[in-house]
Amino acid sequence: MTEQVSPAGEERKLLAAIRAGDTVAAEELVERTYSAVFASLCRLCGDSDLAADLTQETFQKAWAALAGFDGRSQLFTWLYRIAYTTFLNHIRRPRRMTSLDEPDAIDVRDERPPADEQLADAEEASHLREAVMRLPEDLRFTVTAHFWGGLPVKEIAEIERITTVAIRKRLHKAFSILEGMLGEEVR
Amino acid sequence: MNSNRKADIQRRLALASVPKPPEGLADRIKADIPKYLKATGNDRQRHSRSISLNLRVAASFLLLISAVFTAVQLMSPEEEMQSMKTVATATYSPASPSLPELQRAIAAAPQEEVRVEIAEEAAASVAMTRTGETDGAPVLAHAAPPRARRDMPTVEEAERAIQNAEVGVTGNLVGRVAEAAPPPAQMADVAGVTPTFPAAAPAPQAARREAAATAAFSKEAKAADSVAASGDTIFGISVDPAVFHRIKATLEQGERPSADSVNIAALVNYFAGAPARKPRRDVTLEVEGSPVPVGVEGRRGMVRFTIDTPAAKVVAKNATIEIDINHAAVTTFRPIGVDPAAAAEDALPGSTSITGLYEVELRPGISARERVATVTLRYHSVNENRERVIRKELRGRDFAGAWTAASRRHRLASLGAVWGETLKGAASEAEVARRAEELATQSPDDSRARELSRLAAVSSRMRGTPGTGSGG
Repeated sequence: MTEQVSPAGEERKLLAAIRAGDTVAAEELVERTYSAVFASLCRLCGDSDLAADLTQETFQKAWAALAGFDGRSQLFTWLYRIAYTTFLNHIRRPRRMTSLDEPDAIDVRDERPPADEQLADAEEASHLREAVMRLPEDLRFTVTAHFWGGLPVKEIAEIERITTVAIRKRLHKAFSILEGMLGEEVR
Repeated sequence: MNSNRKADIQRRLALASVPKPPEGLADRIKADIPKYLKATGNDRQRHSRSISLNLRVAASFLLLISAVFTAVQLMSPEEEMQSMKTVATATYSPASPSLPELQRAIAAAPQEEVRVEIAEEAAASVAMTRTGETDGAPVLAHAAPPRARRDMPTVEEAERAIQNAEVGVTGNLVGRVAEAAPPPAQMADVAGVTPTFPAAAPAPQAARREAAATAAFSKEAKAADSVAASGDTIFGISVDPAVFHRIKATLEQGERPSADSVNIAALVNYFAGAPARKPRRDVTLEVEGSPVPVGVEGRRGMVRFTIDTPAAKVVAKNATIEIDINHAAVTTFRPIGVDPAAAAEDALPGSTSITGLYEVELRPGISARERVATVTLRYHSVNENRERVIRKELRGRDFAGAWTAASRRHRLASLGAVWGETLKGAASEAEVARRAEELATQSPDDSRARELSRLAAVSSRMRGTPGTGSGG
């Protein structure tokens, strides 16, 4: 009834199986993580079709880089790093610049009661994303990893090789810059 | 920047909407797998087999040379040992002799000693050509014996003497001899180990935590069962752990539980569980707010209240619970398993935790300070023989942070509720499973988190299958 292996141990076993060539284990990894990777990329680029392509590209890179994953961070944290870099590489490619002014292509297939609303319309979401993309790289990664990648502060600190205090300082600094860009007022 | 602005920016960042992955994306990703794994898996296997073979061959040669050398030592008279010392002294100079120089010196030595030196040279040559793991410098796995002793040295004594020898310990050949002179047994052990992809053995500390978590879980389960024996509902909220166990059993049998067998309040209470630390007071009230755990769209949040009575006996009588939602801040709200009409209890049982959830929809533009909900618990304290009131409020700022910033108990309870709703047919099962997995990863000692993660993954894979299993 009770699991005998911790989630971290399960992750290690899964990785060992994949490295040994177990395709079933690799498929399990995909099932566990692809939707979260897609969600993160969708928040970054605001385009679900593009996010799907970048998600596929992320996993292609992940398979190739698996040998170098040292297990210091959680698997999803490592995947997010690859996804984030994939996104940046995409927007820096010539003739394939993703305009940050493009409206969101949000396809909300939601079955919840109609009383739910979106926090912001597409224009506001785009404005926010544009502001985040203009942050300095270290702040941008920290903000997107935490809020759009769902990574806890501790994990971000681990992959950035700095302290959690430093991560929190980055977030605080990012909020200050975003406040200026967004022109927030207390209502 | 004041805290309100910070909270507002955090809220906007946390509520960034996202659609579900398009159909077929997972299949597209999986289609890329075989090409990679077949290519790298075969290469890795060939590489590891090659290294293992090299190490085993090297170990075998070293064993053979060591045995021959030892035999020669046992058969050689003392005079020959002195001659060998002279040769060794002349040969192993501190000036780092090269292998050709060493060979020439050996060739110039008396014929009687040649046999030994040739064996040593052969060992050096074999080690240099057969040993796979080198950094470019030749490695001698065995060394010439010490020359200054009258008695016959053992192999181990010879190796120790080499390490302490006055002659040539800085040259490549001899220096490596001093550094890397493992006995043949060690080389054999090394040869038997696959050098790449070591399997991660479970850490003893992790195993101890696991055992402790299991013991704690068993204790909790027993405590929960004792509550169930005294009554299935408190304040109209189901606290029956059997509901969860039946759902779990159904899923483990490969069936999806029927919608009407899923009591969400019971799941909420199962996953909220007992407090992590024993409260100091006889009766405590926890109140917490957060965004919803999945499908963060709009201004939807979760309000949780939990009443804990850690004492084993009844300490509160004539208890009432009241949840006041501020309509100025909330557009709509719905109780999750809570029956507002049954909000009174004659007596709160001891060793009990009762958790209730409300889902709320916040009005646009509420401030961080605006009151969202007030939870009031009134009861007669048996110990103090007087009326007690515990009242706690939630404000807009309590819903500004990310769901991941909420307490573990809150995350478990709210995610358990959402999971229960997916079992009843709501969507977002995959995202629930992902959240549950994150939670379990962050809380490796929490057996409930692991259970939720596992069962959410199981039910997510069953998506689309009609519920057939009987439950509560």
